[in-house]
Amino acid sequence: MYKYFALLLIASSLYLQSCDEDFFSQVVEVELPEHQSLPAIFSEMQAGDSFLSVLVSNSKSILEADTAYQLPEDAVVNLYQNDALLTTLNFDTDTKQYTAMLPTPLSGQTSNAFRLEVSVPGFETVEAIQQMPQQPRITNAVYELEGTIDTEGYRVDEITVDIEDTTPNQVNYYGINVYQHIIELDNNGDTLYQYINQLYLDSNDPLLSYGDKYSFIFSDEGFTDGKYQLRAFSSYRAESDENIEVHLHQLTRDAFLYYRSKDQYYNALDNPFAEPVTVHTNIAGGYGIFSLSNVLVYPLE
Amino acid sequence: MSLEISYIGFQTREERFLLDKNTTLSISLAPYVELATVEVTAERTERIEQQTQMSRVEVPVEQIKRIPALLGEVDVLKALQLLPGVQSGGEGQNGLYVRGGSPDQNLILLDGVPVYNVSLLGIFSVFNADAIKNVTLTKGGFPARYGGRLSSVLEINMKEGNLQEWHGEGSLGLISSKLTLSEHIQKGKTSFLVSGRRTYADLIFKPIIAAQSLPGEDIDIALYFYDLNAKVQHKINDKHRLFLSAYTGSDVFNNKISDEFGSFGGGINWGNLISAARWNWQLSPRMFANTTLTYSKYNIDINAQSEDKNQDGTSDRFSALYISGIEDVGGKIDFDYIPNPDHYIRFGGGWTNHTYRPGALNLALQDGQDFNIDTLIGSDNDYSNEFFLYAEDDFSLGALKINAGVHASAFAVDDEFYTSIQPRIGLRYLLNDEVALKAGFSTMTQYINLLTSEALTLPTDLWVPSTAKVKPQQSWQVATGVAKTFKDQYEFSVEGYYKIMDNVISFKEGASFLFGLENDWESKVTQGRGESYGLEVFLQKKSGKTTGWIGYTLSWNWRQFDEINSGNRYPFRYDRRHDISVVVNHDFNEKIGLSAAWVYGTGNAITLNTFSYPEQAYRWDQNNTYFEEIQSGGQKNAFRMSNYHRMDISLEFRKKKPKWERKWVVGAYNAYNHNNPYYIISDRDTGYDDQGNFFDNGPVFKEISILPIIPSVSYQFKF
Repeated sequence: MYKYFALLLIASSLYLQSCDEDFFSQVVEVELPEHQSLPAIFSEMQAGDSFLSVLVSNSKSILEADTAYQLPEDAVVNLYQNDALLTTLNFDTDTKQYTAMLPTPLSGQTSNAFRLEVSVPGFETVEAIQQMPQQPRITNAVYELEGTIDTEGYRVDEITVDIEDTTPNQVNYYGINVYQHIIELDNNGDTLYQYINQLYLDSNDPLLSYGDKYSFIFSDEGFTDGKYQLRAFSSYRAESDENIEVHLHQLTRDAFLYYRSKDQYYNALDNPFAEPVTVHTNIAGGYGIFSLSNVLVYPLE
Repeated sequence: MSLEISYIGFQTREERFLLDKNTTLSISLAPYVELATVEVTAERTERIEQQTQMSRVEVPVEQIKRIPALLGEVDVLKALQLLPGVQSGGEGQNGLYVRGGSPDQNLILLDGVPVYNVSLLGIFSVFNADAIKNVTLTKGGFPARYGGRLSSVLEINMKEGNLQEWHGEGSLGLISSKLTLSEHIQKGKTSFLVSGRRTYADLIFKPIIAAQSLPGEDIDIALYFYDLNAKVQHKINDKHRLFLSAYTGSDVFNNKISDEFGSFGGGINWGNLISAARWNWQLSPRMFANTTLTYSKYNIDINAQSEDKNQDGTSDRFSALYISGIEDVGGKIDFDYIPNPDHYIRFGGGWTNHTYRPGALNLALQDGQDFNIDTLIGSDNDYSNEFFLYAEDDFSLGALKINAGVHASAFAVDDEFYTSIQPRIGLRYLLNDEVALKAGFSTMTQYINLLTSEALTLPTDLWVPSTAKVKPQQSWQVATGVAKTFKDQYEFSVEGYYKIMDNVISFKEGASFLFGLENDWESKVTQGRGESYGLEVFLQKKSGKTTGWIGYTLSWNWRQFDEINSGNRYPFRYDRRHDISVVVNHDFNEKIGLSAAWVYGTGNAITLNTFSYPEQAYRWDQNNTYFEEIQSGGQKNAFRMSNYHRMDISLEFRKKKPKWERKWVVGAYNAYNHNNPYYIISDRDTGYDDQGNFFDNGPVFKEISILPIIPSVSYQFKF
């Protein structure tokens, strides 16, 4: 029996030792694989743009204490249209970005493929290719003051936009914003000031996702016979339904994935219960995004 | 005529009789209790190369009981995690990840009734080993009688009470105690078995917490689980038998802190209720029918409440109660028909009505005597009906044995009606008396889904049905392999498999799984494809003084969702390239035995932001620029946690008395105290140096381990 009690004593001792606070809180520092820095590029372009800009930087390990990024001034940034050099962008010391002013605005022809090529000293050349999307089509749009009820039961303004798919044989991606031109007059009827106000939209339509700089982004996979009526409401409560215009963008797939994941990324920040998000990138050999869009501005009558 | 009767976990028995007419025999088998008996088992049970079924493992309960266990609490599911093709989720967890599947893709049946939550306190399984008769896991090559889940079928049957005499067993452990009793009510006709278990962590912690509480403060804590198994069998006559079985178990975690100014508290409670009534009818000497009625319920509630006492004697009260669960009512009938020795035909059908509560939040607010709110959010239940029919035949063509069948199922939910025809086939070809080639093909359809976070496993996981928007999950799997027995003691098998799973479900990136599901869970999930393939090697020694097995799995496991990781394929969190388990039981003599289990697994794949890059730069002044940055890990689940390995050991000291036997079991979980990763946190490396100066060396990542070496001791008895 003695040996059993001895074993019991040893086991009990170990058990009590295991109750020590530090014993349970075992922490081991993780050795991260060394991060190989790569160029990071950011550029959004739109058909009709004359002024182009590209941010050129680089990635760095999350363990680096320095919060600043390099902004190399000696990179070579070229934009090609159908493999012909369209323009070379130069470093602007004010904005710290590479910029160019085109003599003619960026073409909205869908046959145009644009290639952004960036060579940063010390790194391999990186690039991204985007095909200019088609300009979208709106057949009708209506803004109705207090036209619907929001999820909490309040009367709010409603906007309906009828969209027609112009290329039904492929998947198209869209982003939408709605603006109102506000003109304030003085007592004499002269313009005091004017500005453009974005109307923030919400909707119960499961086809629509939030998309960072767009109120909604969506694809035409949910369209019926190539047509779709977007219904959304605005809690903004416009004073009138005048001077309202819809900006419907047709996006490249990369742009769609980027805006969706970026919106998810910022929503998930500091939320320990959120699923992790990987922000979409399309820079071959690096990180970041080069995106194209083609916009239709549809003023409401 | 000599008839030999054997059953897994029981002693083989031989009956001699004169066969000159149709004869019915009722034979009781005695369970294995002695080591000498174990030696007989392997020789008499059906050898692995004889079985048509591949990817199927039967683990004797006595062997499960020998495997060293966390805190000495014998755990069926953790024992199964030691088999090739079966992986655990995380340290101490009970989830089974079978051939690339997720835990909700396992059909876990207790006496034929689906069990939805298999975990108590998150780390112990709901199955009390003392109340279990046998455990069978099927990983692939599913016969037609199974359906409803994609990845595995785990059948666990409860023991029946002894029809002849009084029996009992039990144990006293560090964290729990249990007792099982079985007795006849009417000798030879009716018996019962009842088994109960309860942990007592709260009884240990209560006085410790009370001693540390502030003056005037009252801390009430409840932290325990309990479960109760019960089964009654009644032999009506030689052709009819009735079985009634039930299981109820609950996890309770509540706390309340109160003082003269008020109180606050909260907790989580969850549990299962499972019951079945089975009628076994011998229609003819060649045909049997089993009719089963089932009822099961899984509930979870999360509660929080507070009370502030006002000077005027009134109180401001707030309470929130989140409730969720699933409830099933069903019935099925199974026929076994043996027209001749070359055919074994099974057919049958069944129906289950599911009631889901994806989540409802009850909020109550009382502000003094003036203001009262009591409201229920998201209270609507969902309902669905699931139907199935099946037919299969196990037949022989010389050295070739075939199990062919078809499983047809249907699912009605809201205005949707889904149907599925699932063909199944299993082949076995005997090369010689000891070697067989095997192959299997099966398709499966699953109509209910578990919403669970990849990052954490919590009991807040919700069961939801397929809907018009969320399509049923479907899979097909092909497997092939070789099975061989050598020296009558060793079983060896190698199996390769390839599995495709369509419409697997996952939360979208960025979706928060904890709140908001009660109203719009469908908008937070997305469906995609899973692909897994691998090779499993299994060498098992079933008899002799030394028994055990070596299992090795080489596997790949992928997921692809259009709405996750930019649509690119990525490794599943439990993609584990190498998984090894070694289990050894050795008896030095009749009184002392040693058991050890060693496991090794490639680290889990997780998403960890290891680098960052800017997407915007804003210039503040001549020298300063503000960057808006993105943190990334490159691709989803691109980072590997450290590899996992652990050894558990236990020593048994047995003693047999004339009318009872007892044993002391002393063991250690994680015997060499390896820091196995549970999760990773980001932190900063800060502190004070020897001179007392504060330092900050920047950000670091740390792996947190939760289970160091944990010794255990338990006292077990049997009579």
